Amino acid sequence: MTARAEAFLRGIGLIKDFAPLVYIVAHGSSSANNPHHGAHDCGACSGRPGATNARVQAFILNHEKVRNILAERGISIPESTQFVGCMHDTAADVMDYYDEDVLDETNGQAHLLNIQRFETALNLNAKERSRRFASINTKQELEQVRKAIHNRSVSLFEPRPELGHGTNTLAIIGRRQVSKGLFLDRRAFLNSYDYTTDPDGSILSAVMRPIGLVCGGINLEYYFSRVDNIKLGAGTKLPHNVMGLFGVANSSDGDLRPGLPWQMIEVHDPVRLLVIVEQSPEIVLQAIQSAPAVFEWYQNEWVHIVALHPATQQFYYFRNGVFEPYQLLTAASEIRTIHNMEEFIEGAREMETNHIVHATEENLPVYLLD
Amino acid sequence: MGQLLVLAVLVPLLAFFATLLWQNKNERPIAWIVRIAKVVNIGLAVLFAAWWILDGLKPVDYQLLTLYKSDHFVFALHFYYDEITAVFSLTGAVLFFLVATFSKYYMHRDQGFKRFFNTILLFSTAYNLIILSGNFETLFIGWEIKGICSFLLIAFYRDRYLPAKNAFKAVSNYRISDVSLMLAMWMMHHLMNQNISFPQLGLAKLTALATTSPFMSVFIVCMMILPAVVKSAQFPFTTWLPRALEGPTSSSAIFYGSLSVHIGVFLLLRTHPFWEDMLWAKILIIVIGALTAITATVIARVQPTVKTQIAYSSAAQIGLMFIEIALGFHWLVLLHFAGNAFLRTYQLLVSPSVLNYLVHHQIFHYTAPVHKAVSRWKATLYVLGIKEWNLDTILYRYGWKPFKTMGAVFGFLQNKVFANTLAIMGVFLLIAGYNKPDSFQSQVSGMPMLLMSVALVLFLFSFSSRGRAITAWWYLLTGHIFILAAVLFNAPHIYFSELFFYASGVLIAFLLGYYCLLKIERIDQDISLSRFHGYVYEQENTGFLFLLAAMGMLGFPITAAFIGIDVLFTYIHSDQYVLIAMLGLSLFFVELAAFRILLRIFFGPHKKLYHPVAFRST
Repeated sequence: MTARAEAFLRGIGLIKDFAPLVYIVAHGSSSANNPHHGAHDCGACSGRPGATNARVQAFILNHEKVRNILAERGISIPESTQFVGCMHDTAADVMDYYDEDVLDETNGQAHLLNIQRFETALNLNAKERSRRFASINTKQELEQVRKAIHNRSVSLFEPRPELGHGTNTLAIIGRRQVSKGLFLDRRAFLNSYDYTTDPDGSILSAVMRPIGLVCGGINLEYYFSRVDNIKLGAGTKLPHNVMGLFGVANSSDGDLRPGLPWQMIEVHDPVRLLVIVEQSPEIVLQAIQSAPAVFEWYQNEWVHIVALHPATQQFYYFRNGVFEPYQLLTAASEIRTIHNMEEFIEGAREMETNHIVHATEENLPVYLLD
Repeated sequence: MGQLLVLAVLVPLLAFFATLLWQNKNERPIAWIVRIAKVVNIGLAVLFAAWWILDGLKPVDYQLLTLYKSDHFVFALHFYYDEITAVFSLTGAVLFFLVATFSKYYMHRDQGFKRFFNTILLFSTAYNLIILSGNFETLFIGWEIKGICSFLLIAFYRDRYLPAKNAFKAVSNYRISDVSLMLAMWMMHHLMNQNISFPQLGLAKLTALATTSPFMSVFIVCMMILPAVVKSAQFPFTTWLPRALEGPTSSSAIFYGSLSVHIGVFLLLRTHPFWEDMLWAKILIIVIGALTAITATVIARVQPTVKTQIAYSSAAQIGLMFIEIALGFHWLVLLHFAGNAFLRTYQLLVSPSVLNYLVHHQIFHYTAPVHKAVSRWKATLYVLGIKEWNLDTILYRYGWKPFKTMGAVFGFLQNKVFANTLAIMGVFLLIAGYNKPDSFQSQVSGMPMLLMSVALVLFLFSFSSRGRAITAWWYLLTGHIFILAAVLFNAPHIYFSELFFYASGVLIAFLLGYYCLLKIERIDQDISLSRFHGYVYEQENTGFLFLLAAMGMLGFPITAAFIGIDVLFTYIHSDQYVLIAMLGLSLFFVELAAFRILLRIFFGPHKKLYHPVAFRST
């Protein structure tokens, strides 16, 4: 238990300055009448919701004996700090919190306040998601948008309860300060990693191990399903027939269909994942070369990788086995700024049809938020 | 109330034409039209039922208009409303409402959004026409429209191979029912010497029992049971039903889960007064129903896919309904029908959820399976169920294959010289038949028989041809000419107008189809029937025109040929068994040949590789 807890905390760089309340948020997706609902759940949990993992992790980190051993190994968690496991239902935009009764009085009250903050965040998240759904009027009140989003997840007739990882293109591995104030239009995997706690790159090796497998795997699943939805993807899901509780086929004598259905990928642009790591290129190279199974993702260019040197802020792009300095094509001054997020979302363009030419028009460039 | 009944047919029909005016991306207006249609439809169904109840449950009988009338033949649109209609219309209206609402969201942004709603509106028209019909002719119009709607929805994903193949399978079964209904009408006409409506069936029964030869009534009853058996997927035709579930889930739900598949039950209920006193007919229906119930249940319990299971379970329940009808429990049947229709619609609509339900169940209530020896009986049934009792293979091998082989024997007809000679000969014989001397002994000459067999051979050739599509299409016209000539030689006198009805419809359809095929041949030198070309992908409008042409070619109720064919039947006497069998087969294969050309040229995976092309097996 302690080993798990330690690897977890060191991996995300959370080894000092603990807040009194730490939330471990799993994700899952609830949708009615959807044979592909597993594809909306956690890929790293074999297509299941991660709620159990979050709850167990919180239990481990709240455990007194675990904390004692962690303190011996140099991670001292203050007694006032408590961990709460919770789950975000990404289709319904609902949060669920587990074992709230272990919280002490102060944390309990802080938790009640935090729930309100989570609700606000969920409202805004629902609003941001709603711009992709033609059946929801984005300009409604936040609560109404949220309700409409929730209704999708319980509707028997909704083939698009959520868009899942559609449009994913980026994985940013670093401190959250790196991407603060950036509007990435829901396209990035954000992985916490603090280079200052990892001068020799031993933690980075552990962090990089699942990146290709999980983020790269998801990206390529969408990529190939989009490139040829009829052969490599599952085609439209409307005629699908569930076969033997393990797959879908068309009608009674069709073959099993691989990949993702059309309704999940229609907004996705087929681009390979770009992994950005905030660490010096030498250490990144060493990290990705630590295991052949990790290295082949980058060596064979299934995904792109860029190292952001923390000291010089120079980007290094990995190609042909080496990291080379990368010259930026866009000057920082060219990136526009969003002043009012809600207005911006309401004003975003909606696709006319789901033909690939129109679908791409819906994607937004990178903006700064002020 | 009688006049109002027409509204139930008119409203969805008008809505159908209204939706044609919009493009696929205008989802809102299309959805609005469908919304109005579905609400009015349900309102009318309730109104009729209420009216009928307040009026003391008396059947309503209404003759709308007479389309054609001569001294020996009357073609009238006739409506009828009684308790059977009441249950079918209420159930149908509610289910249509539910499925249309469901589909509005489900079909959102689908490439066939408009097509889908066009088709189900037309289906609703056909359904209402069938259940409100007061005579065989009216019923038959609805029956044919419904068949086409079925075909279009099975082949909804027309750029894949399997939907095209399975749509053809369903259509070939449907055509059996169409032709047998035509034959039933023909014999009924000869039995009564007039066209009769459903309320007169009791009278017809008395006449049938009074005639000395039982053959006529046996024939009529068989030709009433056969369409019901085919349409309701009863033994041995059960296997088309699961294969028809190729379209979007919601269309499968309304067609093969509920309304379409129960039409056989409706037909048996309607015609019951005619055969209620014939013990052998009842036994036959009970045997068929029981066989279906048993075989389909075994299949449903072992099939790996959820929709197949639902389809077979539905067929099994309909088997039980057949038994109930034969035993005379009519209110029980109506209850059973409504229950089964609602249940299967619901089950099909939520069939994608089966994964959630059962996988969750396995996670939370897992018990390790206990391994024990399986009895030999159980294993046998299991294998039979998995293989669907080999019904599909048997039907193919002994039902279709012989005709294909027969058609292939006449492969030499592919030659242009034969094609032209035969057409000229046909026209010549047509003229000769029209101007034949009054003293001509048609029964003795064998001329009608000879000409009809030529027609059948030509249709069989077109049906199995793997050569140029235009040749096959050409032979369909020549075949029609030979049929006409055969009928001319068979009857002492034929009205010119009746000839004209038939010939005009077929000729227009032929020219339209010919133009479409020429257009495609201009684009692509090769339009042989040996493969699927998938031209609807590039030439959608031409494909639609050819669909109209194919429908016109087989006497679908869009051209006057429809009335013409029914009239022609009356010129064949009730004792000309061989001739009528050949005419039936000809009309059967003309549809199959025409639809086969449509499927091969316009449907299926597109041959050019710059389009996305699905694997054949998906």
